Amino acid sequence: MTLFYGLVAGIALTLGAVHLLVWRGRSGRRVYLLAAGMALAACAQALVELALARTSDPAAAAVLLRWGNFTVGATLLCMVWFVRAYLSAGRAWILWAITGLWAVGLMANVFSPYSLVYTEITAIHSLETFWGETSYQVEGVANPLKYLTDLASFLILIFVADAGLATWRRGDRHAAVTFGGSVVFFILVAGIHTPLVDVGIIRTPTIISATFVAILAALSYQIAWELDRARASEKALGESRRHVDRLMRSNLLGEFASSLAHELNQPLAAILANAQVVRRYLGHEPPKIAAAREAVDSIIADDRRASDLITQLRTLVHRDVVHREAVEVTGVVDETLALVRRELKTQSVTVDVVRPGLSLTVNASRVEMQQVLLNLLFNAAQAVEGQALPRRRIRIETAQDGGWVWVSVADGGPGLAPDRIDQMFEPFNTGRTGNIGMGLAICRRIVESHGGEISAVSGADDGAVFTFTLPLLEKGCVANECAG
Amino acid sequence: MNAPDKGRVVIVEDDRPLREALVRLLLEARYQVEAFGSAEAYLVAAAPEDCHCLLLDVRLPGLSGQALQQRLNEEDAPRFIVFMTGHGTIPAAVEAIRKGAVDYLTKPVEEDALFKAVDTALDHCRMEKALNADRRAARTLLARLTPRENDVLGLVVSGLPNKAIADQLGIALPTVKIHRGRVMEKMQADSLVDLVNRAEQAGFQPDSENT
Repeated sequence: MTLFYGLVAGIALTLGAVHLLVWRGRSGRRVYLLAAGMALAACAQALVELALARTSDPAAAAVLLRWGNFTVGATLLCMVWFVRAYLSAGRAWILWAITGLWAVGLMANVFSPYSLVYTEITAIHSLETFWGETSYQVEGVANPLKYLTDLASFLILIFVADAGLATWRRGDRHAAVTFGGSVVFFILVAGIHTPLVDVGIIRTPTIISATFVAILAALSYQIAWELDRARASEKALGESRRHVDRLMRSNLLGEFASSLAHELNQPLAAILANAQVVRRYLGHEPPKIAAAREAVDSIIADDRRASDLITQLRTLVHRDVVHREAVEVTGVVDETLALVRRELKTQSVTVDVVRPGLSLTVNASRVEMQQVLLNLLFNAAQAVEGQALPRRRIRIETAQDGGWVWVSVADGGPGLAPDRIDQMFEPFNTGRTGNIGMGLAICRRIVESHGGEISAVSGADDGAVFTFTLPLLEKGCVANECAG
Repeated sequence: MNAPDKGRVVIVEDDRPLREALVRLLLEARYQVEAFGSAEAYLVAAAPEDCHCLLLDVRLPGLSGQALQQRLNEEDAPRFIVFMTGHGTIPAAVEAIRKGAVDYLTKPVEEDALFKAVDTALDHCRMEKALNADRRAARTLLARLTPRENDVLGLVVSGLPNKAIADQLGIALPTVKIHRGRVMEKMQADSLVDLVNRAEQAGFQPDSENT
């Protein structure tokens, strides 16, 4: 008998511990805490029942009965609230009625002389279990208030059956059967057996704790089953997400190819038309030399256009290690500005340069740095094109922040659409015609290959601000010994 | 140098270097050329009654080539369109032709293919124009008939001999002959076949009560 109750208590304790762990791990879902509460109360109940079965002293039995009512009440309340929280089903008013009945019952339990069960303990019977162990059975005058909690048990049956039915209708049949079925079955067992023992019709020790543990086991099984299924579906979800990613990438590649084909086709088509017209010009007698020269100039220009496109594309996909050296950032800014100053001036664009107080050196490819800055400057120049003169400004700022150098290029243009910022750095993303949108993709590739980051925002006065960072080169570090 | 002009070509192509090259080539081939950078500019500037071949890029900023075709069809002002595209697909080509395009060329376009398509478009345009002129003329002639002559024309066209016409209209045979002679004269027809053709061109519908 000690073994039996010990086993029951042990199982309850183990399940309780498991639920507690899950509760802590699963960011505190209330259901697991309720399950743990139910398990621990059932464990206590097992110990109380064991003690009851072994005591022949009416005073001690009364104390134990009082305690037992608390543990039974706690177990049942945890259970119904758990069912409600887990299934999100069941009628709230029944739940509150059950809770209320037990609150009254437990109050009575405290103030009645012989607990909620009896008004008086008349005898303690000693009985022999069929395997030859002696246990004790309390006999007394039934307390009418006990019917309150019996009513509560009846309501629990209704509540759980109703919640189970709702769950079944919702299509969650597995949960409905394990929850509804097990609770109803074991409450019926305990609910019939225990009152019969209490009023002395049958004489066995009470086994409420055992039924609780059985319910608990069924509920735990259901939780484990669902966790397992959730994990399986998470896995499936992850797989389908990867699949979508792959598709999107191949789709992007398709767009990339079609965009490239279009952009290469334009100069090729122009070259062909011009070449054919030159052949006609030369076929005249005398040949139309001046017109032919003009057409040939166009051919050369279009050939360069196509070849620039190829160069850009190569820069984008090029993964070779380029020569890196210690580069002074403001020096590169000045060199780059010198390349475009004249063009910017003809467009009446003013450039402000904000320099840091000290010289900042990074380990980088000078040519690639220039390429990034050129791209950003061209974009900025294009953005301010058509703006009123005071807004036709570009501001380049270089500064240091901890181990990083950052360079920002801000313009007075119309700014950026927030939903487009993320895609801007993808290749072939362009809002303009005659531009295949590789500039920012190239910038990102270069900056990231240097260990930095590039980002864009709409600035305080609404223009666009592009900022990139590069790791500051440590002092005394020679170019080839430094990791990018 | 002043060779006869082979017809008018209107180019709509957003890529300036390509547009200029096409203008150059078509001018050299003695077409009359006009060029626009967008479908919108074309809609504003082009005179629809002029017979011209519309050499239209599929991919345009703003209104696309297909959208322009759609719009012209909806406005019941269809043009003779030769599409040009960088990456044509068969479904797109079929769709364009189904909606009345003359040809669907892939860039880069060979001059022979280009001229052939443009000439076909211009031929279609001229034929349509001539057909329209004939129709207008036939309608004018038809309008000059009296109601009685109209009745006689209806019965002649439906193949009845003079005697049957006289019976049906309840008039004398000589009277029918006189009416018939006037109809032939007014419709400027030399023969019965000629008369039937002209009546058809004019969209002639005999009055139902007399047939």
